[in-house]
Amino acid sequence: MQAVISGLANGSIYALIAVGLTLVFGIMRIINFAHGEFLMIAMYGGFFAWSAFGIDPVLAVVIVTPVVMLIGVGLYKGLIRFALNVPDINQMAVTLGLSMLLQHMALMMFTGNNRLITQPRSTASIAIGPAIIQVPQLIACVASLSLLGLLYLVLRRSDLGLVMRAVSQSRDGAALSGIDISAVYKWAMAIGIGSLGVAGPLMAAILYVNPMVGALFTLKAFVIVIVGGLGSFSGVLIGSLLVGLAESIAAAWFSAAISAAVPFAILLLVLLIRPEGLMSARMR
Amino acid sequence: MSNLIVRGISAGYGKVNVVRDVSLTVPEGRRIALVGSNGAGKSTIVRTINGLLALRGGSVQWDGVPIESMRVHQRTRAGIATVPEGRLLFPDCTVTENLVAASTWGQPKIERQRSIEVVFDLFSRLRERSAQRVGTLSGGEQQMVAIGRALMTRPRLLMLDEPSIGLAPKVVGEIFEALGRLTGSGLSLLLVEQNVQLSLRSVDCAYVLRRGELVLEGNAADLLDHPFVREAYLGG
Ligand SMILES: Nc1ncnc2c1ncn2[C@@H]1O[C@H](COP(=O)(O)OP(=O)(O)OP(=O)(O)O)[C@@H](O)[C@H]1O
Ligand SMILES: [Mg+2]
Repeated sequence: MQAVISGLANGSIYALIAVGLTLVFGIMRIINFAHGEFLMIAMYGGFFAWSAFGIDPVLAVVIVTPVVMLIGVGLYKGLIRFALNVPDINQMAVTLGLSMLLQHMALMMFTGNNRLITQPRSTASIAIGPAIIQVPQLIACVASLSLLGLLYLVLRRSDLGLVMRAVSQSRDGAALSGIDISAVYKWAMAIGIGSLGVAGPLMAAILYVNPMVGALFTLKAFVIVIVGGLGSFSGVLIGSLLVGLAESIAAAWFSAAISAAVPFAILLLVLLIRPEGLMSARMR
Repeated sequence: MSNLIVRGISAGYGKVNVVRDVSLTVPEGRRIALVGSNGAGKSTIVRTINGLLALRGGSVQWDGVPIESMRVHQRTRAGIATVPEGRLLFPDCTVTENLVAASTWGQPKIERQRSIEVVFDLFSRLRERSAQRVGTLSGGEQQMVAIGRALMTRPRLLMLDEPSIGLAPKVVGEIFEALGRLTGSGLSLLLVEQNVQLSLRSVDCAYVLRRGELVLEGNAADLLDHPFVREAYLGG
């Protein structure tokens, strides 16, 4: 029971990280290997807001999110825009290179030290039936689910969501309909990277920030997105909960070392059974 | 004075220019056909006009203004709409969503509703299917959505790339009848077809394209009787 609760809690946070990756892929057909590095930046943002100014991570979300949204737009205008018309393999080289560049810059600026936001509530926990959940984790989980709900509404109900789905389903068809594709791409990057601005500060209160933390989450987000079907919104939720659950159950039954390998075992399994992922690839 | 003037354009893919030195004009409110057989370069011409393909030579003017440097959505917003080859619809969106997507940039919500009603009046079948996913519609219904979506942009020129392709004669009849109702209100038409007989019956003037070059142009009625057209496209 404990493993299930913490697995679902972790899974919902993974969903918030993976949804940005899948959104950007679904709309722009580009795989951003530097996705986790923007999470890392947002985590540092939350950490320094707390350590330098004593800003609570929940409040820091409000400051960090717009900043990383702008970073997302800047990334589109300064780099991704030019990478869209080159072959896939070169696109990968561009975002992989960016990922390494950001890791090394973080290492230079912030050193390799592990940092964590510690507050009075850090060690507090709440009982849910027979299981308990740490307060910072509960906050991150609730925030994540709310944001996912909000994103879902935007995607289904707003004009922006409609044109995003349109671009995802036919780029040329959308352009012929008068839709400004590059404006939609800008929004995709702003939201895709911006969602990390919500995740980052809250996660800096749960686990250590260091320059390498992003790479781990890029990998997990990849597993989730591939399991759920590239570009699929509901697939992200299913994939995240699956990965979160499997990890924590493996940790409870076996060991932490085995738990770390679980996402990749799931990935292999899914690719063997259903190479296209569990859900479809288009954004509905 | 909205008209389209295409002057001496060439375009192609890779090293090959599949369209060479083509000039054509679509005056305001006129119905023009561009006919030619498989692979003649018709779609290539359409794509250079709507901006999906870059021009390699020549010029394209709309309302007296060169539009070569305008992006695809800007040309659409300027009044040039395309019903493209392959339709390029949004298959997982509903009929209504497909229509709305083409009007978000230009019309407030109330006007959109009115534009949708105009489309539904034109193709009443779509009204019944408004909440259905477009990917699940029949080919004819999808073609109606494609035309409807183009109309949602409030064009002054409508370019249709083989709207009859793969459809049953009855549906083709329905679609061409609807197109007939559309024109006459100042909307110009550039109809691209392999089906020479059908298109020449539906337009005022036509151009005949052969292997990337224009070989004939003139009055639709005259072309129907032209020996070359009869020989090459109407089976003698
Ligand atoms: N994307 C492309 N890349 C390379 N060659 C192409 C491409 N699209 C078209 N072509 C070639 O250009 C020539 C003209 O094609 P186009 O599609 O313009 O012909 P079309 O007149 O529209 O034919 P159809 O009636 O079959 O649609 C053809 O020989 C075709 O093979
Ligand atoms: Mg064609």
